[in-house]
Amino acid sequence: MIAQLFPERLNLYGDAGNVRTLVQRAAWRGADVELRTIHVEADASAFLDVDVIIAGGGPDSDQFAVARSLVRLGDALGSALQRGASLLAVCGAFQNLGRFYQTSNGDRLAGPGLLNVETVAPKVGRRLVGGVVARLEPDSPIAAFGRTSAAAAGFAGEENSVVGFENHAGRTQLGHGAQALGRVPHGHGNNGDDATEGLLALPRDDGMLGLRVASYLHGPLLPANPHLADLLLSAALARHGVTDLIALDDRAEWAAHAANARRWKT
Amino acid sequence: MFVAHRRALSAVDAPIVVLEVDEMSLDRVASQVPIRVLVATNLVRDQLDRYGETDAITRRWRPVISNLSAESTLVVCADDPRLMSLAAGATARTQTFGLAESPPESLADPALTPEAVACPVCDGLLARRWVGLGHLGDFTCTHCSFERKRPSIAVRVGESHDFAETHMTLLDAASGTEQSLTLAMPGVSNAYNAVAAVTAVVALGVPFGSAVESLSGLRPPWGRYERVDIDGREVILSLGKNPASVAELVRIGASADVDSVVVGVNDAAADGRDASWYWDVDLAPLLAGRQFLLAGTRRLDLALRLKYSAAHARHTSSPAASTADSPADALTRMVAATPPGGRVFVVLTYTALLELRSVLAARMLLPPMPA
Repeated sequence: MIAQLFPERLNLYGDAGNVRTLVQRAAWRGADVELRTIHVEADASAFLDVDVIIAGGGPDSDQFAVARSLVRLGDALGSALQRGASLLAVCGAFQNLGRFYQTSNGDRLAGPGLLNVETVAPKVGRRLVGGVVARLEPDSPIAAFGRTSAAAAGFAGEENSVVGFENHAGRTQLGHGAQALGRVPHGHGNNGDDATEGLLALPRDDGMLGLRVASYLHGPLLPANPHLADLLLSAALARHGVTDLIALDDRAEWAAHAANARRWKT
Repeated sequence: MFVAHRRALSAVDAPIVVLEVDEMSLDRVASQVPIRVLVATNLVRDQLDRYGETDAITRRWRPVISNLSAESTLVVCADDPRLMSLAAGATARTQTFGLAESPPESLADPALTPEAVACPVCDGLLARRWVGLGHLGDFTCTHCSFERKRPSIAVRVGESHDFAETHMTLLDAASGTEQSLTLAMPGVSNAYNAVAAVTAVVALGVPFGSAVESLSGLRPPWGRYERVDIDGREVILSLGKNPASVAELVRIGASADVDSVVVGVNDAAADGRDASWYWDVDLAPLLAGRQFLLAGTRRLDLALRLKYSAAHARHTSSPAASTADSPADALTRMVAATPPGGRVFVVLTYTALLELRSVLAARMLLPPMPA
């Protein structure tokens, strides 16, 4: 069961493509996928049987409404993660699922703290906009999910990065002990200062059973980063007894990945 | 930037000057030029990386609209909730335009993710009784009393015939009259443009009937269903630059008589450097059963988008979509693959279209671009 969180508020930057990608890659492997949309007015039971929760970016002005809904549904979402569901949070959702998000007006919106981050949008200051190539941490488990398919597609080595396009005003700081998704030799990343991009919390990292991936990258993020898509998918399928993912022909995915990495490295 | 042209503008000897103003320049232009009629056609997302979200544009426009003098006229789309909330703060006379009713089934909007779902007044969710195009439609807030009001001048859209024309009827609420029009451009977006233009000139004192009549001789401008003959094939050039415009091109192209298609996406500043928006529109209905080539700097992203299109969902491995290095290469190959008398439909982002047009102009197939 794949759930898309608040599509009516978090759909601005093509992020619905992340849902499409997970559903499709599961279907190509013969998995029977059910897709659920969780609306801002849903009740807590919507989270009971979900395996992956995907949330994208929305306009800054919608973050109040998202924050209000998360006050109500944060516990249910947290319980699902405690039980082992995975989470992908991009851009606005990355900000709203942390401990707090402070708007450029100085209003502080409390978040459910499901991601170990804090975000402040400066009163003045430019948006952080542009292409990003984030190098994965040397011990990141993500690369392993792409090593074979990248090599088979003629793009060996591409699995050591994630690529995407960032466009955000908020500056996000990782909390104590939190791990970045990657480092940005090219692009701004979480805050433009410390070279981190996104957040990766592996199962049991901080007492929570579920995998959490957060990032500022659109593109959308998953289609051109099939290794990251498969990390999320493998966590979901493991809950249904599937332990090995069948290899897919990812030539189109790695070709787009490599072209964007070249484009954004200059 | 506009200041440089101000002196040139003051030297123009004409009773009425029409300016097409970039959304982020409106405030600067309004501070330098007296406005008799301000026409706001719609507010859709476009070039997010350059202009920020539509909310940022709304904030910029708000003082411009509320500061319009009481002698001027504001013409806005009644079907656009963002614009209607801006118009509520205007002291200028406000005239609205919009669709009279839901467009015909064949022109129904295939957009995957509708926009502007939050009520601009109370932030509740908006519902729509019908959708005209993108986020334009008959909206009503599920929480407060904000809802669409009947337009001053409305258009009832009939069927489109291929790329050639659209039949429509315009209705003037003030006089209770209606008049039919056959416009030489297809689709709901052009019906919106036509009714916006009529509403604007009626505000300047032109009688409703002659305003409508004047549009019957209109021909498509460059890059808007522009037709070019290449080796006996009809090539149709169209600008597709955001999810709303591409969705419109898909629905018109899907039902038209087309042999082959070229789709191209560049990511220069004028195109929007973020090509993510192509995931919010599905090209499959346009490409199904036709030969096609993908071009532009982001052709590989486009090929990937297509691989994950719903049309391919049942296959375990999708055929790789073919790409060409440039829009001109793609067009040359598609023309060669199309039988004489056949038709090639070309959908390109802004700089890709300019690039192709300059190649065609160099081959004397098109007149050079107007300066």
